[in-house]
Amino acid sequence: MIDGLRDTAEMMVGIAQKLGASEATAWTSEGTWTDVKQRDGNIEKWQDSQSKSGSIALFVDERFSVHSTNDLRKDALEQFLSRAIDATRHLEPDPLRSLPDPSMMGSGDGSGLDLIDASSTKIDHRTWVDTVQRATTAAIPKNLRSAEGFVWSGSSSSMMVTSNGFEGHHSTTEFGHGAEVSMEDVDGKLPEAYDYTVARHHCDLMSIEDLAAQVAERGARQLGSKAVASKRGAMLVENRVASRILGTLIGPMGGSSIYEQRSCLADKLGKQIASSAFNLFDDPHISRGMGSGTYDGDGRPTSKRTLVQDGQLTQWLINVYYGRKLERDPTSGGTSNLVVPVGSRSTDQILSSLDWGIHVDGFLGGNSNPATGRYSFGIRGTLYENGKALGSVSEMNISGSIFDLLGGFVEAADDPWMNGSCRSPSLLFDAVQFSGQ
Amino acid sequence: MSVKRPAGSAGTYFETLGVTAEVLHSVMTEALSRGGDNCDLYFEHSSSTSILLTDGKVNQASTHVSLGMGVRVRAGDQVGYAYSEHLDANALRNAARTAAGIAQSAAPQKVAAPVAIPLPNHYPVAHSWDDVNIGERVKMVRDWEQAAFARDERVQRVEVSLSDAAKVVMIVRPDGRLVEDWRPMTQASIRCTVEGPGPDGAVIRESSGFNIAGRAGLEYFNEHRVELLISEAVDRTTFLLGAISPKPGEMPVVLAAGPSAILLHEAIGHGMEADFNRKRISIYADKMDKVIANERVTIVDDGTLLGARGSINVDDEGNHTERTVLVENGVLRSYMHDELSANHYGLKPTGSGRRQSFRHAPMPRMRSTIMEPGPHDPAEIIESVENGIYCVTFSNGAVHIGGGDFSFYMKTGFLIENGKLGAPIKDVNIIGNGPEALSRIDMVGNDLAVDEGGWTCGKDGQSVPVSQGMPTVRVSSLVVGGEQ
Repeated sequence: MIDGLRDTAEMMVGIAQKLGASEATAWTSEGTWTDVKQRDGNIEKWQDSQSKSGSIALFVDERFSVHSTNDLRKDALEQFLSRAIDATRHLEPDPLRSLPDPSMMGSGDGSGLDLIDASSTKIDHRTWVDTVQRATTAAIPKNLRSAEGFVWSGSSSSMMVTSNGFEGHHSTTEFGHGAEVSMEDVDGKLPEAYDYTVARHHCDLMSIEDLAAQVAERGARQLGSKAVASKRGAMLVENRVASRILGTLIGPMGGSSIYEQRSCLADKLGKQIASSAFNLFDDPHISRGMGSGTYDGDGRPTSKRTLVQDGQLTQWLINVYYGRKLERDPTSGGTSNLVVPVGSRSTDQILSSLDWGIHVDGFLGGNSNPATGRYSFGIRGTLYENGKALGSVSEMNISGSIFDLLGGFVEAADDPWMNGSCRSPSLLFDAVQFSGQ
Repeated sequence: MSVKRPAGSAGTYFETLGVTAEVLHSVMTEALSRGGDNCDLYFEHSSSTSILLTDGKVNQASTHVSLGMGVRVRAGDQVGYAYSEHLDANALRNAARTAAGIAQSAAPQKVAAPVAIPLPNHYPVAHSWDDVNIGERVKMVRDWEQAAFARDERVQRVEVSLSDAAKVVMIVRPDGRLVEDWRPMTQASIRCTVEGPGPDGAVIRESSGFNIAGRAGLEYFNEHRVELLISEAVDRTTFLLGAISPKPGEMPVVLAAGPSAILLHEAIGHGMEADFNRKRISIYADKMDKVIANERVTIVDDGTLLGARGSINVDDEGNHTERTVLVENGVLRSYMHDELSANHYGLKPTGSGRRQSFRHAPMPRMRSTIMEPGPHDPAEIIESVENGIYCVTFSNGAVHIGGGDFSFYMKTGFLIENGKLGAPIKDVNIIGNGPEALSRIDMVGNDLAVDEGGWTCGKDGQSVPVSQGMPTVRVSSLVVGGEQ
């Protein structure tokens, strides 16, 4: 697969240069995917996908453009790139657009990260999804309206080739299963709950039995939920939704936001933006990590980075182009695996110590303003008073400034989320403004 | 670089790419070879071009081209789906064979010869983007940038993007139906960063913007729309400088005409998509012909609005689109159906089967969701509220289909104090429960406005363009975010 992708990428770069591009970067990718859903005992949908695509960044007379197509036949590519280069010549020049010096680029070999499970290629999806659903429904004896089990697996490979000699490839496999239940509440509402597990290697998936137990518990927890009175208090954000909070920081860290002066972090480098208990890393080299990789969008080698240390902002996310605009060394424009270090207490220990607080297990809509750091999200979860769960809450919002929120960060629990590229444990914040009745 | 409107009769566009009547017949025969009840072939050729002005220069462009066919085979309520990115007969038959695997019987269905079905045209284009070169587009966005700076001296930075897209789709069914639709889309967005004194006098920075979209060509940017794009982008951003956060809690909420229709989309629209009801997991699943809203509330979902972003000449299963009355004077009258749900309920499809691309199976989706106007003067609605908020613009929303909880994020608005608009407010999430919110809509204005914003609806991993509109309404109580 890799050879074909390399040949196509090299062909794209070659055609672009022949047609007048001074430099070019081509990305090609190919993937296969199977996605199966079952509802209440019947297969509902079975989808098999195979896709292939190519894209190219063109540098033509100090002008820049990006193009993508899934028609990768040589004559079609020649026509496509010829029009793309013509279009690029009509743009205004941007002398800062050029490939990075080859000495800045990496080797592009990701084989050490163990991102491919070659032993699980023959999977019986029908049996797998049957098992997920049976386990799920067995764990929920009453109040169940409907249950859906879902499984997926896939593999993908991508290749990046630049005209100045960089070549990187990135191949992964992915496996996942999960379930969603709709419960019958006394007031006619049908609250839903779901859970899933995903991994690069099939053997790393959470067992179907454990998953089923979690979905059952989540489903039961949705019943009888209501809003409580507005109040300021503690919020423990469950690990699997903590990315929603961390995401409010990642957007304004980006080079374009900083340069375009629409980032609340533009004047915060080296300054305290969170309580000293808060640390945030980006680690691209986690073995079998969902966000792991060895090179970034510029072809530069990736490395573990500290984004926030003891509450101080230590880095922005700057790619090569914005590095030139901001006259700073690039740090890589995106994130890979976000990591918040684990704490020492379990979520149960934390919850049992709360005088008043809400254990937030889901967000509903809301947004944050990267220019000011204001956020407002809908939440649902469980209310705790004097260490005891009092019932589930919904139809409530949290609002404030992310600086106040992070300034009130107390501790991380001991439960890192392993099902994705945000490896955060559950996070405890103090004095969060909840709005309700 | 756009996909041009096909010049020939329906079917000839893909025929020139090798998809002849014989190929169609063989692919459908393969799709139904395992005993599937029905199938659809969806061919799509799409392209888009966009340019971006940032940091004072129009120095980025992007183009995208995609070509392929998706095949869906149905066996009862079960769906098998596969697609091919090559249009040669063998690749198409392979995809059909994969999708056919959902059915387990050996009784193949007959396939009729394709006959083109004529379609209405809800998006006539006067001036196609084909002959508007990049240089002309560069001039347009430059002019808009200058106008944005000129509008307000607090504007520090301006980003402008202009894009056009077009796709040709062809849907072919075993009963012989063949439809072909050319779907244009034009979109522009302006984002501003502004600097000026905030509510307490200290200089602060804000960033926001506006975007507009419709199924049209270059003529979309008439004087009125360009003025709207620039003035809304600048004014919505400068508004934020002086705005505060409201106090949190439950309160009456007045929703301004136009963009507020995100309430319809989230609180009502999704729950009335028939797939959720067929599966009995929507909060509206057992409510057909029952009173679910105040008698002043009538809501339609319309695929036929002239030039609207959410309009379609035919749905993605090849069924005629229409104006579907969902709620009539407070009574639930219809869900939005694709064929799967229509068969389930023994009804005609409402032309609501849509998909993001050939890589996706269709499902019931909204088109343009509209609340019909009512009897009240908008000023009278605001005057009726002692303490509450008036919401003007929004950025996004979300819903839980079964529990019915929904939320939408208000970008700009005002406090209402003693029946009068008070301090400007910004950036709060508003949350409620769909059926409860519907029953609490107790005043409906006479000022219906269809929003020009470029809304995109996400569902189950698929995005489709939609439109929405409503008059000013009062909801007697919703939970508003904010800080004490």
